[in-house]
Amino acid sequence: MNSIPGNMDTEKKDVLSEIANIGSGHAATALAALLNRPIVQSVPNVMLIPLADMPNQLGGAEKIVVAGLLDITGDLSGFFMVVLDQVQADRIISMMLGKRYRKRKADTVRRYSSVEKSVIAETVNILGGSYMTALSEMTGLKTQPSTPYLCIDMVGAVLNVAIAEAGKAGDFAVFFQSELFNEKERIIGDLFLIPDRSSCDKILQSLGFE
Amino acid sequence: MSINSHAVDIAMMKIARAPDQLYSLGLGSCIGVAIYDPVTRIGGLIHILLPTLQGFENGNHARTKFADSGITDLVDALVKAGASRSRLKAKMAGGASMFTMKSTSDVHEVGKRNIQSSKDTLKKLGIELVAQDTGGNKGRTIYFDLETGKMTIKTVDRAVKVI
Repeated sequence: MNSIPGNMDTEKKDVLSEIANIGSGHAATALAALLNRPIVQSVPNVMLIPLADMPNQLGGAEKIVVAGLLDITGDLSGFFMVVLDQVQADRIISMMLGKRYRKRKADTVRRYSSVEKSVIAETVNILGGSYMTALSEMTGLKTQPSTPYLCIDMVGAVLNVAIAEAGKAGDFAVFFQSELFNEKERIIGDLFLIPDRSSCDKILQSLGFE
Repeated sequence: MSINSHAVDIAMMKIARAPDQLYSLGLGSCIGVAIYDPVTRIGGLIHILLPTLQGFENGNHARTKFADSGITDLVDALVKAGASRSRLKAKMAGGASMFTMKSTSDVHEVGKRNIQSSKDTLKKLGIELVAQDTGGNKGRTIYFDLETGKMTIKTVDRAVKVI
């Protein structure tokens, strides 16, 4: 497969979107159980986008985010990422720890305690684990997610490792994006699966596509 | 004269003259290398994603994505634009490891390899690296001012640094 954006045909894109849908559906269910409240997901987006446009997809390169990353290895390889803005991260922390949610200035970087960091890391772990398990069940491909890595920084910088990996295959990245919402339609966060290029082909092949 | 700022996105290079500015937002493992001629005040900025073109020659890749091919092309373009080859100086920033945990995977080492390859390429081309702010685990936004030859580096929770 080469790197021309037009060559992902509609049928393949639909199949990959369905994979993303099932993955993030499972992740939403797991998060709902964890937070003890209903979580719904958006219709996922499978995109083939130029590397340089990836940060714009998430609100611009300089937006400060709390991001969790899992390295995916095995039959498929790539990254699973959860990107939260700081307000979203605070909400998850307050829901998990049963603390009252306090509002803060949006543009300052807050220091998280080790308990708060592990809350976010565990959330990322559960989201990624359930997403990848669903994907494995559907495709028969086995994957091993790493332990979660956390980073609080500009979104462009945070995405850099995934962009660099995708950049080895071409000038475009395949990006499975899903959004999770809670009952008040407030967005909980963005989930991404960024498979490397051969992994995308493997997913399609496992489902009977050439 | 009005001052223009030009964004330099991933795998891109741009050339400008004083009093313009070149900038790259949110560098993680990426590196911004600025090369300029302090007399004519012509300079360029390149936003490097990966260390080397080696092994990727047959793919569909922009040369400006890689440190070795990109820096070489930037120098050629600067000379073509009227900069003096012998006066060229370089400054660079970036190459962080954003997710620093007990990772054994070399994908998280790309920042370090970008730094090394950029340095090696500059050395090979005989261009002096006069200042740098590289490594660490923080993202950087950089502005390169062609008027002064200074690079301003912003990180999210530290003071602004000028090199």
